[in-house]
Parts: sequence; C-alpha cells; structure tokens
Amino acid sequence: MSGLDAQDTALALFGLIVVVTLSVTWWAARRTRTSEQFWAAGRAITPTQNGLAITGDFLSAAAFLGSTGLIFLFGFDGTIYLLFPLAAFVPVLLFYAERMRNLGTFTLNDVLLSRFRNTVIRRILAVSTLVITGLYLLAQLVAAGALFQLLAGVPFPVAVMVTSVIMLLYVTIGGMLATTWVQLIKAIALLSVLVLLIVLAIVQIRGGFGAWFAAATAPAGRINPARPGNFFGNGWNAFSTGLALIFGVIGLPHVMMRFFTVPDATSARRSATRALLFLAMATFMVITVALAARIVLSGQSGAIAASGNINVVAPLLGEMLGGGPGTVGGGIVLALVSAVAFATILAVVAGLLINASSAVVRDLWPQRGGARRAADGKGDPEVKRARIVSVVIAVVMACVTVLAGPKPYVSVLVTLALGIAASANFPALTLTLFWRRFTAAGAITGISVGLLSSAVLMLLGPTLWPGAAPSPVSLIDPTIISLPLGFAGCLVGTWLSRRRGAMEPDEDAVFDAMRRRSMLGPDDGVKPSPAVSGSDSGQLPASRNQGAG
Amino acid sequence: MSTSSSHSWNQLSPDPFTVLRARQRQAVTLLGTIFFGWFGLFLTLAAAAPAVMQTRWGPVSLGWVYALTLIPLAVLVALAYARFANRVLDPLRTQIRSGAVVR
Repeated sequence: MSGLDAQDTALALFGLIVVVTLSVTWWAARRTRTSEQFWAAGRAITPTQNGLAITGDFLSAAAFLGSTGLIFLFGFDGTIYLLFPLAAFVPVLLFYAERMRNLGTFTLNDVLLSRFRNTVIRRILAVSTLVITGLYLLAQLVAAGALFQLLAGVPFPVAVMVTSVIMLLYVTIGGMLATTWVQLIKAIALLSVLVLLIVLAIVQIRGGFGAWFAAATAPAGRINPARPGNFFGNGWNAFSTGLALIFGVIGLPHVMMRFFTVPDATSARRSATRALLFLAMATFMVITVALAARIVLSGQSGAIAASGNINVVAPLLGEMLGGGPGTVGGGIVLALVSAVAFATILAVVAGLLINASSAVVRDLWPQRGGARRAADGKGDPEVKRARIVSVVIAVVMACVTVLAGPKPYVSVLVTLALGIAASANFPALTLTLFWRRFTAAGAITGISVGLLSSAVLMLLGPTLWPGAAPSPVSLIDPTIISLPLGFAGCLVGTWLSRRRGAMEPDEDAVFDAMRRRSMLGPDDGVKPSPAVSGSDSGQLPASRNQGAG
Repeated sequence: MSTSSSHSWNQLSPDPFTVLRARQRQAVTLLGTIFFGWFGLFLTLAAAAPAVMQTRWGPVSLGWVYALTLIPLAVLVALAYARFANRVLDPLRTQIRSGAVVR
C-alpha cells in the first residue's frame, strides 16, 4: 500500500529526471562536433552557469547524503567534510582559477604541460587523474547502488548498471555541454530540495534557530555532538582530512576542468566566486538539514548507526518531515529527496567519466592532427576515440563497483580521492605556477612520490585494508604524510636535476613568459620578439582558446 | 609600504606588469593570511584541543559557533578579492594590453 506508493513515486521521479536530462543531452549532441565542443562545451558557458555546475560537482552524494549522515551520527566532525571543500574555493579564486584558464586548454594537465613539454609528465599526470577519478567514481556508484537498492528495491548490481548506462549516454552523446547542463539542472533541483526540507523543518520544529541549534548539539545517547573526535578518533585524522579536502580540491581534475568551459580568465574568476557563493548557501543548508535530522530522527540514531548506512539520513528526514512513514506526504518527500540524490550522482559521475576519458585520449594515448581533419567535416577523430574510451572506462568501473559492494562510507572514499589529488597534483601544480627553479624532473618525482605514498598508505589504512585485523596504518586519510612527501619529492627531484646541471638555456625566459601569460592571457601585451618567441611558443600549447560561437 | 612609494620616485614609468603583480600580491597576501589563519586555527583547535572546542556558552559550544563563522568568512574574502580584481586588476590588465599596441 503506502510503502509501495513511495517506491512508485520515487521511480516515477527517477524516470522524469532521466527523460529531462536525456532531452538536454539530445539538444547538446547537435552542438558537439569538434574536440573543443566535446571537452570544453565550446567555451560558451557563462560564469553563473559554470559556478552552479561547479557547485553541483561538489554537492555530490558525499556532500549531500554522506555529510548529512556524518553530522547526524557524529556531530561536529561531520562539518569538516562540508566546510573545507567550501574553503578550498578561496585559494582557487586567489591563486589558481585565472592562471589555469590562461595557461590550459582543456584540463589541469595542460597547465603543467604549458611549462614543461614533457611526455613523462603527461603520462604520469594521466595516471594520477585516472586513479583520482576512478576512486571518486567508485564512491558515487556505490552511493547510487545503495540508494536505488534501498528505495526502489532494485538489486545493487542492477542499480549500478543502470546508473552507468545513463552516465555513458550523457557523456558519449552530449559531451561536456550535456554534462554541464545536467549538472546545472541538478544543482538547482538539489538547492530547491534543501530549501524545501528547511521550510518543512521550520514549520515542524518549535522554537527559533537558537533553541533548535541548542537541541541539536546537546549530548544525546553516547555521543556528544559538540565534541571533536567522535568520528575521527584522534586529531591526526581530523587534520589530515581537512588538508585533503582543502588542497585536494585544487588538484581535483574533474572540477578544475570546468574552468576551461568559459571564454576567458575573467569568466573563470567569476565562476570561482559564484561557485563559492552557491556553495556557501548549500553548506549552510546541509548543516541545517543535518541538525534538523538530529532532532527529528533522534529516536532512530541507534538503528542507523547499527546498519552502517548513513546515506539514508537525508531521505528518512524527508519522509518524517513530509508526514511520517506510510503517509502520502511522507512518501512524496521521501521520493523527491531520493530522486534528487540520484540525479546528483548521475550528474557527478558524468563529469568524472568525461575527465577520465580525456586523460586517456589526450594524455595517455594521444594522436596528432585531429583538429585539422575535423575541419574537413568528417567528424573529429579525437571525439570518436573519446566516446570509445568512455565506454571502456564505464564498463570497468561498473564491474569494480559491483565487486566492491555497497559497504564503504561514501564521504570517506571521496576524501581518499581528494587525498591523492592533494598529494600528487597539488604540489606539482603549485610549484609549476610559482617556483622559477622548478624542473620537469622535480615535477615527475613529486607527482610519483605523492601518488605512490598516498595510494600505499590508503591501501594499508582502515578504509581499504581487506583483512579483518586492525589495518597496519591507522590514519583514515593519509594526506598529512603524503602531501608533505609530494612536496619533498618535487624539491628533491629539482635539487638532483639541478646538481646534474639540467639547466635549460632559456628557462628563465620560459618562466617569465609563462608567468606573464598566466596573468594576462594569450593577449599578453608582448609583441613577439624573435629571441624569446622561439622558445616561448615552443613551450606553450598551440591552441589559443578562442571563444567559439 | 616602502616599495609602493619608492617606485614612483625612482622610476618615471614603472613597468605596468610589475605594478599589476605588486598590487595582486598585496591583496592576495592580506586575504590569504586572514583566510588561512582563521581556517588553520579552526582545524588546529579541532585536532589538537578538542576540550577547548567543547567550551559551552549556555546552549551553544565554541566549536559549532566557530564552524558557522567559517562560511561568512569565506564569502567575505571571496567578495573582497572579486571586487578588488574588478576595480583594480582588470583595468591594469586592459592598460597593459592596449600599451602593447602603442609600442
């Protein structure tokens, strides 16, 4: 009876979301012919649209479902998972957004390659991109499967397959334009659902925000939600996770990729500002929703903690606020929250897939001459290869997810991906932009050391360690060790290559030209003088990123 | 600071790109220090001094109140930089680009 109604409503809403987003994909397909259209949406996204899309990337299953659950169960510790990704946008805005747009073509990797034209760097960055997006994809697909299974009664493997197929349709048919619009639609839907939950909560819970806040953070059961350390156990874990979240975002390929979909650096800066504003609203609302859940669902915290599935807190809160289990209102709100959470996952996995395929097609296995042949009207071979690679990646990831099963905490898995991004990509990216004496060898060593150390520490850590016994490493997140190691790798590699005398003849001129271009863009006010421009244009990517009509 | 006053005396026309870099560095240093200081203190206290974060003032605890100040702080820092970039940095960039045509 009513339980079935909620499932039917949820499935109908899932269907509606899929139909709407696939229509958008169809529309985008007609605007996706060249590689610039496929990877960067033709550079025609506006700052507000891009800001919303970036917000959407962050409001993944981890942020919306995972953080709500973590705050609900553990209190204070959960806020770190929300506040630090938001915080990351301040350094992104101050140091990275404009520079990356000025230097890169399609991806984060292009930025490093604009200074060091080095095949090894290209390959190794592609590997780190694949590892990061792979872990992130795993987290999202696990969440999708668990959600689908719980709310629609579909078995986990089937749910994962359905999600993967829809993700593939977005990416292969509509490219980055479809991926961006799906993300936009979902961001608006999710923000609206958060507003709805808060309005319902304000209507139902008596007292003002102060009384609310006091009730939600008062000790309940064995947990004192005001105490740091309920989830992390010790300070090292908290610190490490904070570092991973703030610096991981800067090295996160699928989010940084969005800064290349706008026409110029000023638009990139405005995207970052707007993303931060939208994210600030969202963060505030998710925290409020989680606090409301602590009041409304206080009777069920024991059962939810025992089940280990913290991702159901937000949907269950919706059900309670709509009128309770078994009522029509409860069923509708439950279905709405679940459907939007599902849309969230779909939008995020699409962005991840397109990013992973760019790493393979453009960096791991590049082929020349695509743009020229595209101009002949025969279709861009790079786009064709991107579609094939996307299918392969999606199949592999779906199988891995089914094997992994619905267990792990989604927020923690995402933080592992961020930890790798913070340890492997962030140090090399930062030193490439700001350190004159940095060398290609330094970048290679730094990326490898960061990648290997974070990956090994994770495999030995409590989240991924397969054995039943306590894992050899007790850190939940390895960033506090692997991020300094990544920087140390960069420094040692640079020092060793300098000692061997690997000084390029005009590397000062190359650095100066890169710095100038990073702040001014392609039109950097320097007339090409023969002495400098030879090395300059040789070091920079050929594409000058004209905004396409 | 001393550098900002000296360049106008020592050089008749300072390189506009040097000016752009100096202005940007000033803004970024100020905003970056505020931001990293406030967030760093939060993370350090949460990690190293959980007892301090549990300090209660009536119904609320220091940790939660601190957490909620981080959101407006991030917004204010971002808006301040955006405003500075629009009003100061962008005109300087335009000037540098148009200067190249004259040269």
